[in-house]
Amino acid sequence: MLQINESNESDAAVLSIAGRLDAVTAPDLEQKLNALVASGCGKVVVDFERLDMIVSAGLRVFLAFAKKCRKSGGRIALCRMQPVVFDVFKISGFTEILAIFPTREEALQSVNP
Amino acid sequence: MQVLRLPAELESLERFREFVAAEAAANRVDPSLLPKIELVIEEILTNQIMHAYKTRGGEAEVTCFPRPDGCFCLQLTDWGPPFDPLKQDAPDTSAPLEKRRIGGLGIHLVKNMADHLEYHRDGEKNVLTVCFKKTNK
Repeated sequence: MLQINESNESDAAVLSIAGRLDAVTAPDLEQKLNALVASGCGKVVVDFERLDMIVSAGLRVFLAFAKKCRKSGGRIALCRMQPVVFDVFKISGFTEILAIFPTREEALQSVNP
Repeated sequence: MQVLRLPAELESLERFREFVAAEAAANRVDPSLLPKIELVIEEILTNQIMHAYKTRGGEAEVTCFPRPDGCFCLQLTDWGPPFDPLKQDAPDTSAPLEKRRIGGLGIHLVKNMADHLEYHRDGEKNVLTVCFKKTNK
């Protein structure tokens, strides 16, 4: 199960994700992010506070988004990961290519420099 | 030793996960290790679904058992063509964004999360054994 709540804050699209981001649920998030790509990428913050687990199928979604939006100047920041989720990003080397912050405020600031 | 065999499809993931979680609890595995164990079964099962049975359907089997040294072990079996996931090239986890690929990351994660990993081909079966220490210490 994955819940995705979308809101707008300081000119950025904020996606709060809860539950599990796995091979079954990753397409749901991919669809949301693709909709943002279609509307020009813009500024995106993903709040992981209530996400309990992520697998490589979930990582793929963020990688694809970051690649698609790099050229159009879009910005994405991730925040509030639980330690077990952060470990997956770290082991995969994704902490080097994606902006990850402890708090939502810092994530919002980073997409609004 | 407990065994669950189901069709190798994404719809089976949740039942496999629940099965392993119940077995881990029965074997007194520290609950804080559960996310690691769940990630491992999910990555391997997804691999089986996507690779072993790419062109035809099939079944996956998960067996849970304690090892005499106190580890909690899972054995994951498929009946696909011979495939040793441990022999695949490691992904480049330091490449810049534009050169990053997702292929191989699942197994890379599995290797990092498990305390022991072993593949063998047994007749028509691919068998991957994964063991975890029962505590975080």
